[in-house]
Amino acid sequence: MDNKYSQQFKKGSLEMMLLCLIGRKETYGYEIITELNRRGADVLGYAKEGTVYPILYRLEDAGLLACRMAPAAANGGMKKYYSLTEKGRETLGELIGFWQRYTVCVDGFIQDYSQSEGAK
Amino acid sequence: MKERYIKQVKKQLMLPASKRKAVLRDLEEAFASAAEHGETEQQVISRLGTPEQFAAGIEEQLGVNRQKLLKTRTVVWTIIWLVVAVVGFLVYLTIRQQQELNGALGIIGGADGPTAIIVSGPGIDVPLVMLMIAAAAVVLAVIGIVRYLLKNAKK
Repeated sequence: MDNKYSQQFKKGSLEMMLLCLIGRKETYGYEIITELNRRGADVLGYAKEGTVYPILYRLEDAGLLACRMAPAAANGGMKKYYSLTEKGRETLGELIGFWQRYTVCVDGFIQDYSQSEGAK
Repeated sequence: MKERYIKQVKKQLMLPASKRKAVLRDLEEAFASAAEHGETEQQVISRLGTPEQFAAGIEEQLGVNRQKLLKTRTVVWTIIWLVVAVVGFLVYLTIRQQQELNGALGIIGGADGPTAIIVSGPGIDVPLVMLMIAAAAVVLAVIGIVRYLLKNAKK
């Protein structure tokens, strides 16, 4: 399932998933990508730096994410750790509320359709 | 391999300086984190795609219109080269005129002007250099205009 219609769903929901992931605990780029791929690669498609990073930049610019640099013990470089800001938490709450109403609404259509198919 | 990849992305990326710096830094971190988790540079690169693809993807996600930026850049450079060409030719003509004037005065028997001495000295031929710069600028401006037209035609 990789047509343009399913692409549209993914585009919108990836931001919410990222906010959830980061809201649970402070995390960094590679961990986010690994986690996305571990949990949802078969549904979401393979997550790549090229898609995930720009979303993180956008969310940061919008003030939903904060980031902090910390030295990475293992490789001597620096790691950028992302966390939710107060505004990010609020927005995520609203998004989750919307998502729940949204799925109920969409499910309603699907149910009606399935019933009509069953009655045929 | 990694260095070359990052360098090429750097060349490709058309973003505001601060964003560009952030992207390159994060790319550096991506390689470091991947290595930490036992991934090879080759594996990371195959995931990222070619430097062109990676850069274009980031630009697209951040809402950068690459074509438009390239076009603006071509236009700006073309204008700069045209200005250089015009100024070069004007300077060339002015110096030449001055030389002829001095030469005429010399024939008539007037005092040799200091300009004539300097210009006829063994150093660089200033008007010739000016003319060459102007000619080069014209060539570059023409290339710019052709590129602009080609880009427009592609659409």
